[in-house]
Amino acid sequence: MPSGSPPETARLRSVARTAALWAAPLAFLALFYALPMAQVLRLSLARGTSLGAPFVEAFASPGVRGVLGFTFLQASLSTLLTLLLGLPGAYLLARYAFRGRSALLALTSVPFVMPTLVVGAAFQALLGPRGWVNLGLMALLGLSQPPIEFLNSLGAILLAHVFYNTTIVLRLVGDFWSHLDPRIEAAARTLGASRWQVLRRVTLPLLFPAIAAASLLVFLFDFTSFGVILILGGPRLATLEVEIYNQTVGLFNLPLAAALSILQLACTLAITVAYTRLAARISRPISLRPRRLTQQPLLGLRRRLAAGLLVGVLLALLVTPLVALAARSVTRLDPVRGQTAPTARGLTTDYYRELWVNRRESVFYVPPSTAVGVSLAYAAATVVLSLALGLPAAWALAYRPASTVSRLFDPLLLLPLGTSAVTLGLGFIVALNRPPFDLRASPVLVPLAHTLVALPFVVRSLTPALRSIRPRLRQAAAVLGAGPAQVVARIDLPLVGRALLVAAAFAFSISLGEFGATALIARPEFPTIPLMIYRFLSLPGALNYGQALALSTILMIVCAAAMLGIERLRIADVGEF
Amino acid sequence: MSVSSSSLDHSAKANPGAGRRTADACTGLRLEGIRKSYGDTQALDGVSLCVPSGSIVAVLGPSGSGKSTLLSIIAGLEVPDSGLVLWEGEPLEGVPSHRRGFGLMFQDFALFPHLNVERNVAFGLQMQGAQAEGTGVRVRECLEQVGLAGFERRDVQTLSGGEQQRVALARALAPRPRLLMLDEPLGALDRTLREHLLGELHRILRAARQTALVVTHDQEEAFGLADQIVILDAGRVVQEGQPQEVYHHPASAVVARFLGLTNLIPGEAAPGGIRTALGLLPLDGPSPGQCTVLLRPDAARLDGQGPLVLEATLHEKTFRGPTCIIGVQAHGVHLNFDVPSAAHLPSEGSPLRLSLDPRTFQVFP
Repeated sequence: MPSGSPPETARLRSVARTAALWAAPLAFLALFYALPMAQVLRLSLARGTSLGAPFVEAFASPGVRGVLGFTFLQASLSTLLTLLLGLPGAYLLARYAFRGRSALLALTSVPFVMPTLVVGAAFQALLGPRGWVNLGLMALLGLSQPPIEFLNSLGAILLAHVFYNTTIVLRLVGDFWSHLDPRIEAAARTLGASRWQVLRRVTLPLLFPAIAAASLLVFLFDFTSFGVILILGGPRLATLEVEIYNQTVGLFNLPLAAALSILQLACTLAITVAYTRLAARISRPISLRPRRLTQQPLLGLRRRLAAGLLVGVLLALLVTPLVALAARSVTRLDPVRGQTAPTARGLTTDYYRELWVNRRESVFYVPPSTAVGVSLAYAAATVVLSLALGLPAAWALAYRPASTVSRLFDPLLLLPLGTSAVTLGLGFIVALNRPPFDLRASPVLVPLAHTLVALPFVVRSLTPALRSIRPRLRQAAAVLGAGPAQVVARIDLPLVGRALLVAAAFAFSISLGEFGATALIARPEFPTIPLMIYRFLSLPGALNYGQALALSTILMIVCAAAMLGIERLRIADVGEF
Repeated sequence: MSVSSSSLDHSAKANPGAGRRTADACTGLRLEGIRKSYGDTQALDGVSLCVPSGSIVAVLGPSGSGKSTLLSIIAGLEVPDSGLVLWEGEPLEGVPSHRRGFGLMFQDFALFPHLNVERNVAFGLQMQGAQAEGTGVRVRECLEQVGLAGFERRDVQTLSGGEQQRVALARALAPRPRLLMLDEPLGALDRTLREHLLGELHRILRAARQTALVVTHDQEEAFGLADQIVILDAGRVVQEGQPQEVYHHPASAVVARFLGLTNLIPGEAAPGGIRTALGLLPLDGPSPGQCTVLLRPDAARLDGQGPLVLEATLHEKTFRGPTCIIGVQAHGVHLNFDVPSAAHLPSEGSPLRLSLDPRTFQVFP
């Protein structure tokens, strides 16, 4: 037999293959991430003659210092509260098999895919001045003013953040926990450890990487949260993200906005790097066992009661706002201004019908139905683009995980996730406004930005699926007589096909809900659904409010459907974020 | 007292070149001088062997001896650095895996997670272009053969280890491969299940008159399945022969230890025999100098009569049903023997007179 090709050629060929796979994703990141970010950096450093003047301005201003402090405060508190609710939930989902477990898991993940505007609208529908609780109390007690001041408070922000991110803890920690061999804990018990000692000395140390990774991710999302704070925080409570938006859109102080963006980027970068490190540690199995071997039935009255209570709290927090939103969007409750009695109570489809009417008959007025079409078009473009770029990157990560290139580029792909959406939007504005990339007027800008945001999710959902096609399966197929083409058709594609659908659903729902970047770069004549919701929410009047809720409900249903599809199609038991 | 030299004759026969003598007569699979290295590791160092049509050959070797690499090369999944793989005299060089008509059952089964039991088993038939109707019959037949009738619609991920093993076997058998290779077929299963499935596997392979090549590190698995055993150590064939022949006449101390024969005592050739810790044993040494003496586990009787009596202390006794394994200490050497469990044994720690039959001893250089 020949002695095969020399190792040098084989090495070169594999390097070439890796390079080919990475070429498109990297070019995209360079052009639409690195270049805009570099422009933001340049802008933040230069104003007039002195280098770094915007930074000096930022740090000198007590307002900005306050914003920075508040950003950290609310993110820390939100993370803490999320862990407080999420860890018991993770334990329940990990260690017990009970009826409705997978339904609960699916339900709790619905908030995570909800666009921020939908969440803002949902909490308004529940606790805002026109919300169920306030209107109910007003009717009950005969008040003329809403008794609960929920909007514009720290509490509103924290609640919305817990609502959003509890599923991260449930998923990341719960998943890891459910594969942790319970015999390790049993061994500790037989060695004389009490329940509490087992938790403190064995379970928590083993779970630590998962808990830390989940906390970092939650913190990251809370830190860069935008829509929720814009809607629920009011004018006084601003985070860095909101401040960047205000400086850009409101005051047009681009250098200061750029300096703030760089500041935020530095923070998120540190968090992202820490997260990637920890995530790598989770994926290294310590003694992972299939879930059916680690779970026990819920037996005993006390256990059942505790579990029931926990499920009740989870559902109340995670589902009530969304139900309130949907119900409120078909209910007329508002009192006419100055009166306590509502004009016409009852069910109505007016808010939905109104969406399709061009009431102002103005050329400049964009009817809400346009937003639906625009959003769908952007989402479709995002799906195509992010799959085209994400598939080769995921392929490289799955088959050459140890190569230097893959190790280097893996965290790079996560960067857009760690970069605030508003900063991305700002970058697009300052970088893509001159030839050869004068895209300011172009509608392609929005799907490009959405693709940046969706790409990490696409890659993360494709990589494990591609990796799960162990070389053994292909060998098994080959030995059974399948030629190379048949291996692709019968093994690779069926296994990857589902993952592709999952990735597409992610990209689709991310694009539909994206608000931060879109708020800065969308053309006024092509508004997306979230932009339209924001417009309606900031306008007075019951009809505008109702239309905001109706649009939010539509968006909620579409995104929830996408998420449930993702749930059904996922194959891998141990997921990756 | 003279020791029969028959054992030495046998061990001389069991040399690595034995395969080549029968090479021309080999009708099935033949390997000639297969070499494969990974970096500095020599996984296979000139392996030649023959699997005659209709027979079952087991390659027995410790983990890391290159067994799985050998199967990958035969299956065409890997290319050897040098050497030939031949089927009925035709070299298979350049023939891709899917055209070789060989089956391979993987150690971890490698069942397709997205297909149910039926479609896993039907896979190979469909690759041959079989029509749906024909495959259905054959799939049912194969599932019946492995005792999984009625499992057609089950998801493979819900099966137990033993069931997965059977599905893997049915899948490998279904396309009627001209050679079936099994990589540690029972290695992933627990002990009781292994013993149960070993007999069944043997029965199934025999009933199908399947030409098969099994690799395993478990001598019981090899003895239970194979007509012919090839022992591989560090990438080389160190012995081959029928199971009884190999077991009764291991070619070296390494092979003996690997076969579970652990009573190996270092010795030195001396006038009148071999000097060991047990005293001067009346044996012919292979050559002057250091050697190793093997005492088989069935070499001891409890009557204390005969030409060679060993004064020992009973260290432990383990009841094993028909036999009892006794561990004895004599002159600082620890030895294990099988004795009938019906025999009267003193309590542990008591002295014991054992009579040994030097004719069953074997000497390795």
